[in-house]
Amino acid sequence: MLIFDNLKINLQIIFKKLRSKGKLSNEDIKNSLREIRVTLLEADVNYKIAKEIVDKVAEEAKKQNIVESLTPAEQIITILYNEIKNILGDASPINIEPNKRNLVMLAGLQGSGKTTTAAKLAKFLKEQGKRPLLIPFDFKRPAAMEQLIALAKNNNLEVFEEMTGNPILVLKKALAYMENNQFNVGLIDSAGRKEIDTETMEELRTVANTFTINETLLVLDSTIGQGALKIAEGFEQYIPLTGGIFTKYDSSAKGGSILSFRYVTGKPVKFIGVGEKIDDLEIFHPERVVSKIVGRGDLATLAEKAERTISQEEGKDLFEKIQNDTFDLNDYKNQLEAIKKMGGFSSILSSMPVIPGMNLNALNDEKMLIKTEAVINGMTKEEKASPEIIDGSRKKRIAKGSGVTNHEINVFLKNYTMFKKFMQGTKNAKSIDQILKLR
Amino acid sequence: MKLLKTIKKIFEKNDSNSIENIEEFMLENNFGVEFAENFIEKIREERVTDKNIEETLKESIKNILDNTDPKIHFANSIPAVFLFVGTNGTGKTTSIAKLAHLYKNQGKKVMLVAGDTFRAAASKQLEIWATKLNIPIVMQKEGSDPGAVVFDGLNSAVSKNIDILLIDSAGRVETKKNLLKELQKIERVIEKKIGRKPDETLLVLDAYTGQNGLAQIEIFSSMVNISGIILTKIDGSSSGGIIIPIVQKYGIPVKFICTGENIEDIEQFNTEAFIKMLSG
Ligand SMILES: Nc1nc2c(ncn2[C@@H]2O[C@H](COP(=O)(O)OP(=O)(O)OP(=O)(O)O)[C@@H](O)[C@H]2O)c(=O)[nH]1
Ligand SMILES: Nc1nc2c(ncn2[C@@H]2O[C@H](COP(=O)(O)OP(=O)(O)OP(=O)(O)O)[C@@H](O)[C@H]2O)c(=O)[nH]1
Ligand SMILES: [Mg+2]
Ligand SMILES: [Mg+2]
Repeated sequence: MLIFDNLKINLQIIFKKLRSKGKLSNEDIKNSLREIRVTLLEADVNYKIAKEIVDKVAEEAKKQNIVESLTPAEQIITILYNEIKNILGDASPINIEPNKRNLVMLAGLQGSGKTTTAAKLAKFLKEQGKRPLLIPFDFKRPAAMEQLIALAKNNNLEVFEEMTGNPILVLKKALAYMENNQFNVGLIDSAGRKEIDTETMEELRTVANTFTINETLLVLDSTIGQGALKIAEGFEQYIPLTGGIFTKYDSSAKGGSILSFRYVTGKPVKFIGVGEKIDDLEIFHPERVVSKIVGRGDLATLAEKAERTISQEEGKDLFEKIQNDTFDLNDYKNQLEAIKKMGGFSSILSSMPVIPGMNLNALNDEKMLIKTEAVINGMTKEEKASPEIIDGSRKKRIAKGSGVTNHEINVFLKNYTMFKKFMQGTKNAKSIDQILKLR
Repeated sequence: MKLLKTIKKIFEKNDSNSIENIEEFMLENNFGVEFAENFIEKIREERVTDKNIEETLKESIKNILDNTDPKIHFANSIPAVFLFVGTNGTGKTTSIAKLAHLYKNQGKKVMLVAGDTFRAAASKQLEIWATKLNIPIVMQKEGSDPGAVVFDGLNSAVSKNIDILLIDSAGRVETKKNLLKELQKIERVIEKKIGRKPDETLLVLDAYTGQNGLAQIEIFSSMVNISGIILTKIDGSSSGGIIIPIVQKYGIPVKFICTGENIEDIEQFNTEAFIKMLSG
């Protein structure tokens, strides 16, 4: 899940809050800016960049006299859209020139994914009709070369296997080998290094100065936090970066470090790694990403969706039920359904108040949501109204009927209890807004 | 930016910027916006004076970290079994080599299990370390069932009177449920063989990690019994500050820190030293 998906959801909620009021006070604007800041920080956007983005949004909001606007949220989101888009820049293909020998070098911290990405890129280029040669250039990590050779063998790629002696000489030999065997792209897999390690960074500089390299790509792990800024700065100081690749995008990290990279280097992100397998490489499309954030086209629909999902009426109804202690499994189910309509738990979860004791992982799983519904559907009216009567044998029956395990039923019941408890804990809240408050 | 510099800046200015500076310090070190906001609320509520902000923060950190027990668990019977888990490329395999070296030097009989049968040359990587350290290793060919390798390793360790068995596993991101289930299976294989869960299941966490670290801990520990954290790469430019909200939220202790790529670059976690490192 990416920063932008989450941002989208959080903004939907801010948006809804703003919208339902119609007109705004300066305080409202401040609150929404604060939400934007929190969202950015939680997505690992560097705090300096987050601050700049928020300041710019504020400035622009003032300029556009948002307070007077009838569609303030749309306007704020548009402004934010533009700010992030400005930072992300345009899409840019990998620069490989035809009829010529090309070199691509991958550099980065230890364990960022260079070797794996080198193999993925080789496959990608090969499919485009190029003749790539993988060049192991890590003399340090145990089995680094074996790793690249194995990746090549497993995927029918070519790799340069002579790796002894002086590094510069090795590269020269590799180039000669390319010449003699009609390879037109050499992919150099360099050893992992820290940007603060002057000795190994100087070595990299020497390579960059000795050879004509088309693409010098910084491979960064998208789980990196605030430090991405310094790392990008550090590498930039030693070698002329032409772009970046973000790996492990398949994690739940939100990837705010992409903004840091762009901010520091101004260079395009060219690919993202979305898994460990050879085909898990995707071209990075900033536009697509930005429109995912606050996609203009579906802006209004998003807002409406959020509003429709928990309508004022329904909210009031829920509120009363909580006050009167009549919130039961049926209501729980309705809540889950509402959440599903809004795009599923996984996306909504981050903007929900943390409910103590609830097994969020279980809920985070879309399948679990479906299962939860199945469980509820498998219950008798009686059981739904008073779940405490569900004993061992009832559990067994429900499990059988709804195709889930006993354990899952237990998780489900526990979640329900916690949810209810949480709801009851909010009994003293003055309004539904307070219950659904963001954090 | 290290704490000391920030604090110096605070003292130089000694004005309302202090709160802003301390906030930046917390954010920059990946403590997270929630932690930062709570801390600022606390110093406002308690009317902590500018001069004492630094001490208050250090004390808060110390309290959080000291609230967990960093001791390493060894069962009464041998072999002690340690399982290493975590997301990709954090330093699991290297940490195993470092610990093997450490325990071997203490006179223990150590054995390794190449439980990563997935990544290219992962076993080879561990084997190179084993050869260097001159300690036995159990491995199978790439693509074999990790549970089976672990089973082999346990048998071999028992018959050879090994003191400590260190089990590597393939890196996996926390979004891959099926791969996490595979870890559960490994845990079960171990439990079946030795009659208890691994003595230590150590989650290896990269010090560069941002807020995703919280998800890593939450999800891994919901699947297997994480007993501690190994924080790697703190020799880099990131401090590993993400452990502060992690330890605060999940109460899982940091047991070791890794400070480089060399075999001796591992230390038992120490709160004072960590705070000192944070403070630059
Ligand atoms: N989930 C996931 N894992 C990845 C991705 N890219 C690489 N990896 C994994 O990350 C780990 C480290 O990858 P490597 O390619 O060895 O990283 P490296 O940068 O070459 O590492 P060093 O050479 O030691 O600096 C391996 O387990 C890879 O399988 C990705 O996009 N997603
Ligand atoms: N600077 C530094 N590098 C480290 C440290 N620990 C490990 N590394 C490096 O990080 C890279 C990845 O380490 P591995 O031990 O292969 O990581 P892993 O978790 O086993 O990786 P996978 O099995 O691919 O998931 C290697 O280049 C290591 O040398 C550390 O404490 N400091
Ligand atoms: Mg490598
Ligand atoms: Mg490994």
